[in-house]
Amino acid sequence: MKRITIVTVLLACGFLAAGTPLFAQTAAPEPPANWFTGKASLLLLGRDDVDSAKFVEYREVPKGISLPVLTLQGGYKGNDFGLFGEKVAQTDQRFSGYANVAWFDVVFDYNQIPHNMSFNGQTLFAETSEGVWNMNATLRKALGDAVDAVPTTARTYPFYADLLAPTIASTNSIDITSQRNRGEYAFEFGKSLPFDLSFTYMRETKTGYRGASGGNILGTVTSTVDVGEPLNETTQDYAIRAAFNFKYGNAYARYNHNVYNNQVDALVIDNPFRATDYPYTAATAPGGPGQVRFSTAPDNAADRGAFGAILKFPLQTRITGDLAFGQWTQDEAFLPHTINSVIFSTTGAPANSVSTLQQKSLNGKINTTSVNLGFSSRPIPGLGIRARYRSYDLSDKSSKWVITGDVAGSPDRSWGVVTPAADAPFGHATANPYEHSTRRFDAQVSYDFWDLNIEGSVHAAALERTYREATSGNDNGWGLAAVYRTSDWLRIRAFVDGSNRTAEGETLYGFQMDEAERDSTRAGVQANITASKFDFGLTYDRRNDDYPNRPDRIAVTSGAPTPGAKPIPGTPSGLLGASYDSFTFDVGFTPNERTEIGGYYTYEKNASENQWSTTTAATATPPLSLNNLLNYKGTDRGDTFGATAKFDIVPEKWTFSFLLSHQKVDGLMDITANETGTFYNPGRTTLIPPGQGGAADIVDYDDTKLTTVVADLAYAVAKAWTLSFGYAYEEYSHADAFSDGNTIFPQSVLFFLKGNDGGYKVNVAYAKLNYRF
Amino acid sequence: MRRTLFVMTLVAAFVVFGGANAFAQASAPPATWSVTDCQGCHDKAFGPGFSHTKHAGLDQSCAQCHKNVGAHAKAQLAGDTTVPAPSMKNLKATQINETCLSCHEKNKQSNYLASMHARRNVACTTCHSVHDAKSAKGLLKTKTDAETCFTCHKAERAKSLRTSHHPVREGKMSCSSCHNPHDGATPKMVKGDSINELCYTCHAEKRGPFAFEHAPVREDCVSCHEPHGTNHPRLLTQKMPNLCWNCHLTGSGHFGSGDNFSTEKGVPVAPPGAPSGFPTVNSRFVERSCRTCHVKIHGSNHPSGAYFVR
Repeated sequence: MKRITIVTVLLACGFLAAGTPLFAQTAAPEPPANWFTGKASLLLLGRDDVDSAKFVEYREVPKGISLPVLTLQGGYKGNDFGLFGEKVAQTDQRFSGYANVAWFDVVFDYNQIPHNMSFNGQTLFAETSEGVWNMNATLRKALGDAVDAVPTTARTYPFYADLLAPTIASTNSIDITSQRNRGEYAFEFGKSLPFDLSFTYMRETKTGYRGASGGNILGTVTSTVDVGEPLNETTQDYAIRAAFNFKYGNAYARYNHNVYNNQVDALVIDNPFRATDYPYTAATAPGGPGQVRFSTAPDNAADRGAFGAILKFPLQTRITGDLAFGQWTQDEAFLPHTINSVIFSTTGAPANSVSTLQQKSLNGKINTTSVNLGFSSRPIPGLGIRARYRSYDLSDKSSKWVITGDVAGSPDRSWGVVTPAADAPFGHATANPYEHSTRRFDAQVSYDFWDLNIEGSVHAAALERTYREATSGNDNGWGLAAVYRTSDWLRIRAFVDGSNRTAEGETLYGFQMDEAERDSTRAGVQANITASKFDFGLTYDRRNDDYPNRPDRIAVTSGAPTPGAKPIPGTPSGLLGASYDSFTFDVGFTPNERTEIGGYYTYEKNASENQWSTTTAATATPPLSLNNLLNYKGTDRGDTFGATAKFDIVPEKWTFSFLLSHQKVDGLMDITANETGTFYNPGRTTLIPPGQGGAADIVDYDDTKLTTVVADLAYAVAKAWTLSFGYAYEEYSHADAFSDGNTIFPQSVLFFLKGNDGGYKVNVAYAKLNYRF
Repeated sequence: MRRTLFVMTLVAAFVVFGGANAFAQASAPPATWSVTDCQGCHDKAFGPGFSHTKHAGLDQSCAQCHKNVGAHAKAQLAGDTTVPAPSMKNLKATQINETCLSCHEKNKQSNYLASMHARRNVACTTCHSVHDAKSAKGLLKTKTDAETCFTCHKAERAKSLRTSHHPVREGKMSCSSCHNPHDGATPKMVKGDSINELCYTCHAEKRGPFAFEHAPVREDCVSCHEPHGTNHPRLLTQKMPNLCWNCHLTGSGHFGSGDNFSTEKGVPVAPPGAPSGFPTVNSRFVERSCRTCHVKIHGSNHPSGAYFVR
């Protein structure tokens, strides 16, 4: 009996013990109380010297020792944290991380982005203070006197080249570089509250030079000068967001305040040919300022408040809505009309004084309103329906004034009276308070036919604008899409859609491209096949925009159609059409767990067609406008190859990886014109004979080649240590007919920095030690 | 006999109560499954990439997402292969999305069901991996979100290699800097009420308002720019001056006088002694082209900046 009892009990217990993991209740395991993991890499790198800024446009590639990766993650008594560092202590370093503690979470990201746009530019000037570029006053007077001493007809390029040779030989070097540092920090307090609450702060600073800038200086010598545009800006953003999540949805509200501050108020540049201000009296005595002053971006701010909600119902039914209001403000004090001391307004007031200003600042204000409403549902299996309404309004409430005079027409030389016109009630068309609004509705219906999903869609939008030629228009369209998927081996997606934008309004010359009538079509197909160890992908995308009914040219006198003139048939002008085609083939091969190989090829073609003509048609035979019709077809064709490979030569011991990327873009400006037509610059008296110039294709139209190769061999020295050796090669070339071969003084009288952002070749070798715990 | 009956009763009681507890558990919400329950067979799914994530710490863990875990476990023990495995790979995109959205349908994902991705049957697991994520944030299947996006968006991959580009390939920006891939409200999933407001988050100096506005700039930055990458300076869709000639057909100044005609591919400077009319490259084509003079093309706050030259 005892034996039976003991055996029975033991059997029962054994049975129960065996069944316990499956059928007994267990609590969810507690995570480890404390855990830490991390990674650090030490890199030793050597490379060729590179003169071009393009190699380090948005990055730093330091020689010697660097710390490319430093990460640490862990949990301590239920609190998690993570710190991820990249390129530590470099100009392009980045740190991000998070911490989740009992009652709040914090997430941050600090990102430094160098902008190296060109190196070793040459400038006639020296920056004596931020944004102020000076040249020796004695030299400037001497150059101006030398020009004044010769008749106009003698002021040729060879004359200026000789005169400026010593000055050009002693130019100053300038690198156009800048640094953008951006930090974003988010604090979330939802854990201890019945709703989500978060605060976000962003601060970004930009310092250095934005790019090559400067401009024209009208005078006896009308020159254009290039300097570095100063950059010293700070942007800050403060935001608060609250959200309440409940069983049937969630609701949220958000407010943010964004402030932009520019520490540099103006860009000031000396006139190379004038040391003092000379008055403009006539075309024969054009005068000219001793300095010019350009405005910089004014301080501004933006506020935005938004609230919204989503309601959830069965059958994946959702109703969403959100409403946002924004206001952008700018009220920085205006600079005076000019820096030239010898210009006076019609009332005799000095134009270089703020007293001449009709208004001391803009008191700029733009209001925005955005509404989004949405509905989606899958009411029966396989059926999906969606509808959206969206509106966006932008209205300019700035304190505009009727401009009666300024120095805009003859910058820094003379005062000009400004007279309002019907299309420019504030004096200049660019002073108009441009406003626009869009109302858009779109709906989609889709149905699953077994593994095939078909979707049909429509959209309708109404556009309204103020102060533009096309004051209203519609943009209506349709779409059809199909998605087919069978298990994991075949996926096909295809779509086609079309839309038509109309334009209504009054126009003298035809609607501008961005508001004109437009027919757009888009189509695409993507197929992915997975067969055994191979993956294949084929993708095609196309976008085509036609601009029908572009305006025929019309004779113009003083900026307005000549009285009695009629449009000249057969001369549609402006942008006629634009298209983009892209085709890609991908292949992947994974023969076993130790090998991965992939590659792709993409072909792209961008194309656009413009047309232009003179307006002096009238009675000539053939009509001169048709004789002088110029058709421009700009294209660029891109071929992009990529390949990657990874081999576990000895699993968990030796790994080899390889990357190749190559892109070649071939641009062309194909010009079609009648060479016996008129291709003259003002002042030229003879036509260009055929075969001696005239319209010619521009073949170096921003052509580029970029090739990058990286090979890496890694060896797992120990469980936590990996040592890798690598080699990389990169080559870049760029060809631009407009700029290549130019010196800093390519034409009369234009000065450009001509910094180096061109081609390069570089070899890189490195050794990297990784530690992971 | 009495003792035997007592013991048998005791054993039966253990079996019944123990089993009843399990059966009762089976009919209750699946609160019994933890990582350890499944790890015995599925150890590869519980690497460091998963075990330190919030998914691993969920109360119901595996059963939270994988349905019918109990039936699967029982079948495996019994050697029954007819019971389908609770793998997400066997589910349709809508089913997978419903699972993920049961927790994640809020904040940036709140409108996913109306998004283009959902409409194209893109499942959450197309981009994300709960068990084997490669990225530091977002549980993506690739190290960066650009690599994830480029698995479908091939054209943008090629554009990102163009000479004028946002610093995506350098790792300083990502697709999600501008797009919310889960959004179902805004066109092109941009993270802003409009394209311009999105651009102003990094380019606030263009926001204005300005005393003199360039109308197409105020309306839409992509009238002139292609943010994914182009071969022309400053991310322009076309090279200047051709870009400007899309709109500026006529008017006073140099557009009405035929000045924009001269597109000769000639020498930059006429040689000494050349006759009048010798073909040279027009100054409108050289270097910064129209922006040589019209430097404030996005808008000017200068009181005499009506033509954007100051």
